[in-house]
Amino acid sequence: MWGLEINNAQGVETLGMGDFTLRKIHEQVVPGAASNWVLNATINAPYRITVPGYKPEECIVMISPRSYYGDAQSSSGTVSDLRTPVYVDMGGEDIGIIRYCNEEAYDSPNRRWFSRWRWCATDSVVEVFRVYGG
Amino acid sequence: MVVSNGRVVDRPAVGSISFSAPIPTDAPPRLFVRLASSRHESMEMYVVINGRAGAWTGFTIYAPAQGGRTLPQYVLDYVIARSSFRKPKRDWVFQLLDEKGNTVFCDEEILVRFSRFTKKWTMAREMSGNGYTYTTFYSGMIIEADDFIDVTFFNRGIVTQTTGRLDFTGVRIYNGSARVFQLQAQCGNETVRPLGIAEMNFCTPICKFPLDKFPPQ
Repeated sequence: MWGLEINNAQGVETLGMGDFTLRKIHEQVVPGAASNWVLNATINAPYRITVPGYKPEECIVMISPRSYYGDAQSSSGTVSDLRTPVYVDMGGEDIGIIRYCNEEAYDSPNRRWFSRWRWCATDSVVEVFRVYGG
Repeated sequence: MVVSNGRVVDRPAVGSISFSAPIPTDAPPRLFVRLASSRHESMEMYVVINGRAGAWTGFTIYAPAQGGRTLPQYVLDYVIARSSFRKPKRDWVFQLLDEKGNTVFCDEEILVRFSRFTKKWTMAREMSGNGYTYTTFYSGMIIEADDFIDVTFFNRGIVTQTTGRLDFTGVRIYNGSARVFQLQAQCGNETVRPLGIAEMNFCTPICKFPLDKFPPQ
């Protein structure tokens, strides 16, 4: 048996070998973006971040709002509120932060689907962690 | 990350907690919740981390109730976790510093051990009888009774929940009296389908915390 174990004054282990499995390798702010719907089109424009050491199968990306709406949601205003981005893997060490929504909507009078998109992301903090072992 | 814990009782479906001192990190502190009890068989909610980048002061959870005439009363256990930033109070400590000399670990503090993460989500749409469309995102995670879910990201949801004529977004942690982890968007009588869900990733941790080890704040 070998290793490192740190206990606090109450005898609770606060640091042990099990804690060396995750390492933050990147943190940055990604600016938000907002627009109205753009009709009959979709967009493919990820915000590209290159993180040395990033591997999709070994890393996780956590995205949080940098500011929050402090009030309750209202049905009339909610659609214009900005949301937390998601991400896609872009190959190699590149991560693409998705700050928009693409969707299809049904135009019932004309009985057809049409596409549309809008920017809809709040300012966010992107944190990239690398997982070791486990 | 370092934790303290407490218990919030949510009587009119709004529950709020103030931190003992503002948290001066740029990224918001991470809020992990676990449903302790509920009068309803489901719980959806959304989260406000109060304050701003560099001075986070607390959090508020809003939770509506689905169905029935019983007032909601949700009880949540929570753990709030932040990056380590404090200089130790004692003279003799074990400390780790990063390359800039910032404290990243001090033996006075307890680390969070992330156990699982969401990444890929699936999506389904359903029409309700009263003209609403619900878009549900499924994490695919099996949530156990002692699992805490990170809901820090969920203020107004994620970008792919932005659908036309959107009414509300929420994160659902309880459904049919079972623990779940789903995201929901509800929109009025318009038929929409978000695109790009298969390529999309969104990571959130799910952790177990031995609560007796974490000091209440």
